[in-house]
Amino acid sequence: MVKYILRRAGIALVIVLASTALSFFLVVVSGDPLEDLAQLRGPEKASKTALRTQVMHLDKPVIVRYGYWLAEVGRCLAKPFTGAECTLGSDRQGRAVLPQLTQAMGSTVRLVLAATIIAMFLGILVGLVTALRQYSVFDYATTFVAFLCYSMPSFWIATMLKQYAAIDFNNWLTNPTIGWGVLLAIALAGGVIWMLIVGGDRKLRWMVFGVATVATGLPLLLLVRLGWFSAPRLGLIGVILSAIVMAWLWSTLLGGSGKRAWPVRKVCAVAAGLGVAAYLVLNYVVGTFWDHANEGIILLLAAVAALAGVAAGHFLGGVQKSQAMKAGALTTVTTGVFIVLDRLLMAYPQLYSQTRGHPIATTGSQTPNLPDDFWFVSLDRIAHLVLPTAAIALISFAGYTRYTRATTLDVLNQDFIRTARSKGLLPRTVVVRHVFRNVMIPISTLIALDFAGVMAGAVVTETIFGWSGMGKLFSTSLTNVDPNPLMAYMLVTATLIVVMNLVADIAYAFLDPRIRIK
Amino acid sequence: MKRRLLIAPAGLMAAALALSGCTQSGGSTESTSSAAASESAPVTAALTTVTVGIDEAPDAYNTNTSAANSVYNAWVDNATQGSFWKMQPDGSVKHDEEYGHFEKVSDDPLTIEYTWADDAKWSDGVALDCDDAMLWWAAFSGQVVDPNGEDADGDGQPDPIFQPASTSGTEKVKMPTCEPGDKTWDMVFTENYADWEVLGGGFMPAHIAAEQGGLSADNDGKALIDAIKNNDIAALTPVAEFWNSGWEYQADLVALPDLSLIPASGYYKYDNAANGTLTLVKNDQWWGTPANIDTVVIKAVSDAELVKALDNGEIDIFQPSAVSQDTVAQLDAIADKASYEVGSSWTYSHIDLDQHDGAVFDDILVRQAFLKCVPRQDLVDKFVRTVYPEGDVLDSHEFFPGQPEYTQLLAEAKSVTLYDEVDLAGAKALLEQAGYTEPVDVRLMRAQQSDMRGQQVQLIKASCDQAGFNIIDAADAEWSSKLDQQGAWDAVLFAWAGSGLLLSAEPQYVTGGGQNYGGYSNATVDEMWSQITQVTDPDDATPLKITAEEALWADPYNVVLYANPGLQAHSNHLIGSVFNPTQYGPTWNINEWTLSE
Repeated sequence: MVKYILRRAGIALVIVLASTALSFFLVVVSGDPLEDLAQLRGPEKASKTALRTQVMHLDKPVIVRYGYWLAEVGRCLAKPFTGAECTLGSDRQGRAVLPQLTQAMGSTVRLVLAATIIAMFLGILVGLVTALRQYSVFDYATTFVAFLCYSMPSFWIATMLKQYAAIDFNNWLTNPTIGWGVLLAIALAGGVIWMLIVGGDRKLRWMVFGVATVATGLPLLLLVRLGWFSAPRLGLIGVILSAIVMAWLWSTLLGGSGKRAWPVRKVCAVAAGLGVAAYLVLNYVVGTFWDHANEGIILLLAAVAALAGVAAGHFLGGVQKSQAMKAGALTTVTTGVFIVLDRLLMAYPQLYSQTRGHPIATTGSQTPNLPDDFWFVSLDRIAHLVLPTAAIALISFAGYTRYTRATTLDVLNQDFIRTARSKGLLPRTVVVRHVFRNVMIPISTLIALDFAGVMAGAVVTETIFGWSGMGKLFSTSLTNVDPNPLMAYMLVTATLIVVMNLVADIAYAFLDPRIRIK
Repeated sequence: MKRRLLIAPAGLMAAALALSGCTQSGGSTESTSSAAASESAPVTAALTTVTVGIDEAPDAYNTNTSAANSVYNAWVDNATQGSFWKMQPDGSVKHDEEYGHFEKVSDDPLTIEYTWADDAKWSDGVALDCDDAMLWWAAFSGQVVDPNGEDADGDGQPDPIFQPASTSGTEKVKMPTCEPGDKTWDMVFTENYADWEVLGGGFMPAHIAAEQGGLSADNDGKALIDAIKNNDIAALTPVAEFWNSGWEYQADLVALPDLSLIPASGYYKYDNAANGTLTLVKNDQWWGTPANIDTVVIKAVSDAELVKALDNGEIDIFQPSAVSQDTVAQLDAIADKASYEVGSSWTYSHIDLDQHDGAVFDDILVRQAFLKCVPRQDLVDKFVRTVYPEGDVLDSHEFFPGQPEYTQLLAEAKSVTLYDEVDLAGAKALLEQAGYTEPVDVRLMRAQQSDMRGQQVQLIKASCDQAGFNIIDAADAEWSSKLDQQGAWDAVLFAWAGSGLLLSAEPQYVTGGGQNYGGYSNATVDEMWSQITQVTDPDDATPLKITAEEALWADPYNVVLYANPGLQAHSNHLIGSVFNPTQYGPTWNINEWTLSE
């Protein structure tokens, strides 16, 4: 195994080196680095040309320039031993590249990580459901939507999102009312979607349709009527409802059904109660502590919540102790998410007024000059993240859906699934224990490569939404025919992709016992 | 899309500009806002802030260096750095008497006396006085030279230690003789310089540069003044290094440097920066009439996304580097929220012709034939009027539509309209007269990346091929570096950015001029220019230029096509912004802006 890893690492190194050389030459021949100075008149043209020639070594052959760049990389590698200055060279204005690279990586991670996780979670979930409901209307509908997203260019999705999810939605927010026709249409759509997902016989379908229609339409009507969209908040009722749903969800997923499930259900109910109690304490007992929270405090509270859930499971879980501990912790933590969401939404009226009634942003990563208030600033960041995240997530969601569906169908036809069914396991147990785990083996490759892609950024999306991330670094330096920043980008992405490929191969061997035994 | 000083490379400009002929109406509509922003929450908090959308984040505090000299930085300087003069939209120079006073006190030698207002000071409270003038001279004169320095520009001389973007005019200024603390100083020229009126700007805080360069800033900057007077290169080198690069921002404007290093001398001062947005607040030390709006945010938004950002209230005003019919259509669709102005910018498209010995256009008859066949009106209809319906063929090498001199030129010089109409028969006759019987090959070079330029070349080919030319579309990705390669092209289509200064066109038309790529030489033109450089009253230059202009049409060097259309859009909340076709950007009158409900 060690020999295998070493050989792979050696090959990887050669690949990275070759790809940097190739891309360096490609960048250099891609255009004219002095083009933007062409129409300048007067002496500033000569001085700017001289300066840029000096900074970019344009008077030297390309191979020598590549050598300079390699030397810069070498300096960075040698830094721990010699303390040499590590800048990865300079851009065409003579500014060090390394700080730009770290800055770009930071903002790209913020932008793409959330989108990738959302796409992965939803994509795998929906892919699984479509495979289980193969050839149903839901399956066809999802397939249609997935292919639509997959084939739509990202600039198109981004532009549509800007128009409808930002500009039009913001306009609606200035006067959030809803017509009866629209309300009815949304309610019916909700009913149809749930009906298709749940499936079953005719009677069940009609029942689900009816319940889901009312469950979609009525709250919407109430929220609009109560002016919720002007001052949104979950409130005590919202948090209690969320806690109940979370308790039901986790106890059902992890606890099984029938009598055996009772201890887990009990633990989840207690955990939900703890969550509601925490909400009351944070909002009404501890004074301004909750208003002055920050990321650290929230993480700490999440840890406390998880511990409380685990403790509840430990003491009340009975025979189902290990499942109950998991379910309890998940219930407290997910309820906590809603408590945080509630507090975030309280900052909305402030954001609304600061942005002159346009809370959802179409460009940039933050509103400047906000007061120093964690909740306000966080809500503003989220309002800037919503659109680009949705744009990226929609596209990679499609890929995950299709891949998961195909893999699941493959696994469902395996003999061991039939065996599991025939020995009388509950359908849910078959799906969660036997199908899902096997589906995840090939999907892990996709995940590994997708995470490598995260760092590569999203050139189009970043440009359209005004994010200065890796994609922007790439496109700007390419437009400027400025090799050094672009090479820094290549260095990071090429290394990451090669490493992630390696990780995926190795992970494969560890995940799948069949490969290991061979 | 990049826009370095003086507008985008025409190659990149308006790649999206469709060839389709349909004309979009471009009248600005000043309808009042019907946006319902005021209904459900108070908007007062944000009404004290105006946000300016900019294609690229500003990258330096000192915009006078050759690295940082760009229109983006100039937009900020309009708000933060005062100047003795300000260029108006019609190209005239207006003195800013609040900032200080300057006047010509002698014609021989040309001497201008500058006096800062009594209470003129940087926003950190330090007075604007002699040391700032001395630093200005040291930086811009190009006369502070380290004898052992490098020679990067390859002129065989060591380079000056300061790296300003331009030394034109300032290299003729003698060292000021003021003493520490003086508010008044003389700009004495070694020879006459026509654009002397526009040199009183670009002052940098000398006390900061001195301290950062290791000199004491006490006693009104005596140490720095003495170092400059004694030409103490050792002491000045660190100061120059700081002046050259110490005031640069991090890439993408992640944060501002320490605020104590970047004092302002104008309406606004620097406050903070984050992720490509720069915030300016009112300068409490500004001694003149204060601006109306409390806070100005300069926000980087890419060109294509500006309209959406305006629609969504994220920016209040923008001036895109490239205007297309699409921009205009999008703005028409949000007329309830925003208004816009279109006009002729001071960047103009033209075709230069190579007339070195042996080149196709060496023969004046061939040049004249080419001028007769280029469909200038057609190009204007398809590439200007789709955005700016009032746009017209440009008939001047010197002036721009909107300048009073341009009107005067059209009235006085009849020859400028010689080639307004396509005359294929006349072109054919001229070519025959020149002895051509076969089609004349013309390699017309243009930027490969620009579809717009490609379409224009096709139009020119369609017309000129009928007259006996064979136009070859020489699209080239590296066109700009081939401009000064003799023989690389016969004709080249691109844009110049005009500054409106008296002397800006000189290097293109005088014999041996730096941008006279085609090798043009005409005795009248040379003579007129040698006189223009010597005038000390701008009005004296106009008749000389008109004479030069007539010569340029009689013995043509190039084909001027049209002034590129420009556009400025603003939200209906913002009152008082005025489109400025020069390179100074929308913020040129930021002190006059107000916000309304």
